[in-house]
Amino acid sequence: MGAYWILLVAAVVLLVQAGLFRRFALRKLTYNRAFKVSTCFEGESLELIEVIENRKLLPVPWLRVESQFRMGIIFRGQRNLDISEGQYNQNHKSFFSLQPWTKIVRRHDVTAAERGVYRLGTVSMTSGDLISYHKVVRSFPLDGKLVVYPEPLDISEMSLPVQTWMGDMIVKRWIVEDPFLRSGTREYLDGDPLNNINWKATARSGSLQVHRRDATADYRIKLYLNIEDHELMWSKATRPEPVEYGIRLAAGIASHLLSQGMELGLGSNGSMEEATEFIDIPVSGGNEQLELIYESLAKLELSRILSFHDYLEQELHRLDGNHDILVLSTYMNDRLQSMLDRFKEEGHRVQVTILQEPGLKRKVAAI
Amino acid sequence: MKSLFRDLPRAMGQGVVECLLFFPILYIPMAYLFSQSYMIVWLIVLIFGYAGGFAASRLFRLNTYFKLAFWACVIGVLVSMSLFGLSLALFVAVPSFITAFYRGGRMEHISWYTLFPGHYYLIGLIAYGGSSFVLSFAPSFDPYFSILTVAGALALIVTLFIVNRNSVEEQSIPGSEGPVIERRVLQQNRGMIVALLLIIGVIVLIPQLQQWLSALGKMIASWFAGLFNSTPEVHEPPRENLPEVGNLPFSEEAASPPAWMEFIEQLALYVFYVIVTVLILFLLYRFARSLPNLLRKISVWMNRLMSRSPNNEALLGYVDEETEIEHEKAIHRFKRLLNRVRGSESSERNGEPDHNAARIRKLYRKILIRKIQQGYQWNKSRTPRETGQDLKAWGKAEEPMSEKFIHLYEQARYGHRTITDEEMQDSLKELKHQ
Repeated sequence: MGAYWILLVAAVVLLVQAGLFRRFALRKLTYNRAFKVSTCFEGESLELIEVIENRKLLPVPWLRVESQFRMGIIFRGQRNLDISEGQYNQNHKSFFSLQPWTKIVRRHDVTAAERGVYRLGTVSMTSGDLISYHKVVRSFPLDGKLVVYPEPLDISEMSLPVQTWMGDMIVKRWIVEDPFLRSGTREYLDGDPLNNINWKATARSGSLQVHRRDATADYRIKLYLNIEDHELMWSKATRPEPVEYGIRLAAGIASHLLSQGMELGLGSNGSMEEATEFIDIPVSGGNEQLELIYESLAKLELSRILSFHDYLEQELHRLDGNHDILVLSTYMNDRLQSMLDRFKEEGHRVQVTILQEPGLKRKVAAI
Repeated sequence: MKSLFRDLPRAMGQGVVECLLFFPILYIPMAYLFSQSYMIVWLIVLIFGYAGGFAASRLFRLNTYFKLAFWACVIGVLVSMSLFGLSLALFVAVPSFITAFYRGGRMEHISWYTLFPGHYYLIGLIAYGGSSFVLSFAPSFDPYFSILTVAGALALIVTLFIVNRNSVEEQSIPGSEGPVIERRVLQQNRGMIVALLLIIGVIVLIPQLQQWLSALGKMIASWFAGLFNSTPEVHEPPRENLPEVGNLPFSEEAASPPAWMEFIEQLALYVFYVIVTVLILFLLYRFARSLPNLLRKISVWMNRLMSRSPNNEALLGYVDEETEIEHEKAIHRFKRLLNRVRGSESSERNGEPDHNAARIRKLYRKILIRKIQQGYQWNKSRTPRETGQDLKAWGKAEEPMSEKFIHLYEQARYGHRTITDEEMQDSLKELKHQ
């Protein structure tokens, strides 16, 4: 027996294993990945969980799982990643070796650094034999996404006009009184229900006194966010920082106002992810509205559909009833000013916040 | 200097691999020109030639081709002449030492993977194959042939391990900072290479194994024959008392055993081969299964011994949980296969009540195994009823087991009730409709 015999046998065995792994390596191999949560805020940490199962007797010597993510989520082990040249996407890869009948649950620590929608997209699996003579590739789409909300800025210490919009607004004349609002006492009149009597005041005054109630009305606030970073912006914002700041500010304002029981709507001239329409969230209240606003702000792209002036003109015709309007914009010029004057003429109250680089003093201009 | 001593063993190891892979080119001329004792000495000198080249390149900055080649030639000639004087051996010694020194020097400047790429392994193995085939017809090389065979086997082992490691690293698409691969991946690959080498070893040694097995089988067969043979053992008469072969009359020649006995002997041998083959395969399978655990334990032990912390897994940025999937063991499958074979033999007994209960149980097991293979996570502690509900909730099973079937199974499994043919047929029909 010579070395040639050993090498001949080895060559045959290697070819057989190559064929075997080529044919069966990806069979009965299941793969899934998901984020542990479906939504989170900027800066929060979360887990990306990969589950891979080899449901067969044949082991898998190596398996590479590749996918693409938008930039903006940071994996703890950055050596696991190749960041593509465009700086918009990152290629994520996971490398496995699987024994027969084995399940591996891999948990990646991830930090959501930027707001946005991160879809799991298409995953491609590559495997092969022990000496990589043959390789097999399979691609398949995965459902699932992570929506990273913008970090809501704490506006409680900011000198923004929203501080004045606290609670209900008392109106002079209304049909039905607000049963929760007591403004004092008055003399009993015929027809007043007995449960409305204020007994303490009656005892003090010596005559029947009842609670005085006022009529109230809710604020209906519409927030307009301009995603243009300067007056002459063509299509995409080249200086995204002030606009991103505006988005966080809008999230903070929405959180603050809606938590106070007020109603708020949102509009912007920017495009939504995979959509060609504006953000247009009608005025409403509650937690669902807050989530809707957060999600819309997460999906907001920094590319405009219309100039802010034209957008406001369009809104002027669409807006029903009187609203309190808060405009968040990086600039203010004569055209915008005249447009906002027209809003005022229509009976709306308008306030403008000029967005600047984060950290710089914000100017609040009330019109 | 400290780093030099740290890197020298690596350079020498790489030198050993290079010498091993291109051993035929070195060894065949050596066999004819060197004496036996000088061969081993020269191989050791060559390894130190790599180390010398590496050290000289680092210490004296031999960073150009010319400087390195010049010093390699000078030292190569000096060392060779000091060992062999002026003899024909210099024709092998000088070029081989120059090459070793030069390549050792280059290892200091270039990554060894670049200096010794993948196709060099293939060339080395082809050199082994070609040379050993040609030299198998040269009787003058017979005394050296076994060394070439052993070296060829070692070269194959080294090649498989290194090529596997390189291919795994390459497939992980390393970034600029080099590959970061989990230790478990490497261990499992090494385990698979060991299993592959064992298979190659078994196949290569089949002719020898066959001879050994044949001898063993014959020994056992003769032992059995002696055991059942009531006639006393007839001792062979002393050689000197036997008449000469030429003088024996034709009729007194020993009668050959009957044909049926030969047939039985052959059959017994084949059965023996089959049993031994199955046994070897089973042992190989068991070994392959236990190998990763064994390697892991050895690795942990070695790390503890050398006070080494786990390697760069912190850089990977993830945590893995590995679990075994509930599945039917190979031995159970084999048993089931045997049962099926037996079942087909006695299919005429299908109508018996006890058999119906067994069939219901078998059917239940079969459905469950299929669902487990599809991805269902079976919980042993659940009752059949709970399992049925769980399967419904799982979603991928569209009514895999009806209430009626589960009820029937419960009665067959726990109730010890006889299942009638009608009930059996009903459940079968129901399952077929689903």
